[in-house]
Order: sequence, then structure tokens, then C-alpha cells
Amino acid sequence: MLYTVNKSPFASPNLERCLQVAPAGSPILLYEDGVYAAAAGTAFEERLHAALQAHPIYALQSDLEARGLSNLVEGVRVITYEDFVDLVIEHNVVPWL
Amino acid sequence: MSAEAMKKVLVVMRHAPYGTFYAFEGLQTLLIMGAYELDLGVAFVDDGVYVITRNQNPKALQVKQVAQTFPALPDFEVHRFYVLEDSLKERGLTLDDLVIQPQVIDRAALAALFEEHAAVLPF
Repeated sequence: MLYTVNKSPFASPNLERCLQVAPAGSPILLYEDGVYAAAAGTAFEERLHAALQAHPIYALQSDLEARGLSNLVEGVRVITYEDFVDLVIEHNVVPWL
Repeated sequence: MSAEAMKKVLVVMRHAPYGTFYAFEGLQTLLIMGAYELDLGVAFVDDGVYVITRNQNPKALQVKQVAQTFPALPDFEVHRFYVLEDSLKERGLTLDDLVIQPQVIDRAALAALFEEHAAVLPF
């Protein structure tokens, strides 16, 4: 399953709760305000780094660019809308809204 | 109206831009209220600090860039800007990452600001 998260980790517990449920190996996509979790140097970086040991983590390029985020936690994979479509075709989706 | 008599209003930005409409609406409120002879301030708190970060480019989202309007706010009679120190730190940000240079305040100073304003408007 592909887990998708669109809330800031500072404003919502959604990503944390999602990480508690998502089995190791399942991909996680950060989009909209969810991409703030991918920024390097934040209080959430350590948590995301740990999550990256268990999951492929993707962040949507357009949402990163909109928010001026370019310095990302190492290991986060930046993807386009086209890549997003490919992921959705490949996996069933759990939208963690 | 004398400066002493002007009502003090504080807009508090607490949400990140683009994911929701809060930041757009807070900015609209500041631009409109500037026309009403108010003593206007704006405080960036929690994810609200993301509203004024540099290098925002929402072209692909087809919405207006939010941060770029804030440096122009003094022309709209908004002269007081504050940012919560802990909110910057939690996000690994410094004043160098922002498009304006607000006064950096702690939580006690923020609470004191709330006390001295006739109205506190959250966005």
C-alpha cells in the first residue's frame, strides 16, 4: 500500500500516526503541507531519518518548490506528478488525511 | 485620529501557506484593514513562519506567491512584525531565511502582545 500524507508534521500528528501503522517497506508520499516533513534541519528531521530506514519516502516536487524547500533530509526521493501517477498505478493507496 | 487613539489590532499567522487558505486570508485582512486607521501588527507563530520564507515558487500550483507581498505591507500601514523564536528554531530557520525581518520574540512576549491589543485575529 502507498500511504499519502498532506499535513505539516508540526501542525498535525498525521505523519507520526501514519508511520506507526504503515508496515516496513510500504512507500510513503508527502504532498501539500506534508512536504515540510522532508525539510532538513527541523525538529522532525530525526524522526524522518528513522522512518527512511523502514520506508521509501517520496516528496512531490511542485509542493516543495511552492514552499521554497530545497534543502531536504537525505534519502527523500523528489518526484513529479507523472511519478505520482505511476506510484498510484503500482500501489493501492491509503490516503492518511 | 491621533496615533494614541488608534485601535491596536494583531493578526496572528499560524498556518503554512498553500495547503490551506489561512495565509491568503490573513494577508487580505492586513491589506484591507490598512485603510481603516488602525495600529496594525502581524505575528508569525507555529507554521505561520513558513508564510514568509524565501524562494517560494507556487507556479506549478497556479496560485499567487504569498511571501512576496509582505515586504510591501508598510505601504499599507502595517508597521509592526513579530516572529516567535521557538517556531523558527523548531523548523531550523533563522531571520536569513525570511523575506522580512520581524522582531524576534519569546512566548512571554507574545502573550504580552495579546494583552496590549484590542483585537487578536487568528489565521
